[in-house]
Amino acid sequence: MVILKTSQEILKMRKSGKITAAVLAMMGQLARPGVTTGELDRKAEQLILDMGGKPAFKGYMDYPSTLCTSVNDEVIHGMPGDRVLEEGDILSIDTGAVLEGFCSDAAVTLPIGDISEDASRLIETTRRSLEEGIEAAKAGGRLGDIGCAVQSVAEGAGYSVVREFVGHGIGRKMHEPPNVPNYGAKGTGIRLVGGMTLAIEPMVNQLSHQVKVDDDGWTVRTKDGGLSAHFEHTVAITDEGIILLTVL
Amino acid sequence: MSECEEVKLGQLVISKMGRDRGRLCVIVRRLDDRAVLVADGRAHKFSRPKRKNVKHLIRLNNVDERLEEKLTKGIEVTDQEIAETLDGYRAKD
Repeated sequence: MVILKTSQEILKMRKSGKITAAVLAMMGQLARPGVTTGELDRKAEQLILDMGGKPAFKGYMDYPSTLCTSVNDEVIHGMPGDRVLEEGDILSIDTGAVLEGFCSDAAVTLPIGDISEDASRLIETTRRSLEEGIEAAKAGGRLGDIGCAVQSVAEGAGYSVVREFVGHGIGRKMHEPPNVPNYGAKGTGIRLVGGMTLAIEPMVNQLSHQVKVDDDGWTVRTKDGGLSAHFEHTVAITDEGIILLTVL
Repeated sequence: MSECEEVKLGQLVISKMGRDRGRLCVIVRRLDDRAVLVADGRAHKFSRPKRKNVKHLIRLNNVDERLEEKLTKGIEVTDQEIAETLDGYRAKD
């Protein structure tokens, strides 16, 4: 069952989203060669608490951290720790906050120092695929419109989209129906209506779309070792248009 | 960021405390070592900026040079200019 949100509830999610956006803005300042992913995680948690929220990921299905930090061939759910970021790495940071009972969820992929042109093109394409996916989300449209837009941008640039992990509805819970795949056909899937709140999150791989999960049970990486990028926003669909919830 | 010791006019900041938490603003005046005035051109107009403790701000590395120059020289800045500068940053992010 898709849970539709009232405008008051969307306003609460917007407040929660501002915390998530602030964390990602701060991470953009801090992520540089020589810093460990664990240090980023501690600063992120402190900021969320300072802003009156709670980390949404910590404790979720026993996940131990505030951030997911996925480096290079890691797609998502990389766990912060002692890994030292190096010049040329790309770092995907995914995080979420809970405020007044409502969750928000967003991600960015950041360049660490100077990165290769290939890596930079992957990041820009993934960012653009999210923008196009958001652009395609309209009340009256279909869920498949979003996936189709994301997939067209990613595959149009010669990349592939991950199939095993998808975006999701979000609200009082981190994951609510419906699933929001990053692939699909225009005009298919459930109808999008005002009050839906979705986390749209393209995961785009440089080479094949196939992924595998590490022995830690969390870290997802590309099977072929190619790079992967990830961008995400929580959005609200309203009859007046789409509202980005995880922006400053 | 908090690592960046110096507070600059025209520097972009995010409020992390108070009713405006999460709001992107720009520093328009330094009051003392601990406090600044910030504006975003909308909720906090340039004519009535908000006083903030610097500890309650996330200081970004972004300093808008055009605003910095005007603010340093004491030239009037419009709310529209501030709002557009902040929108430009949001769009990039």
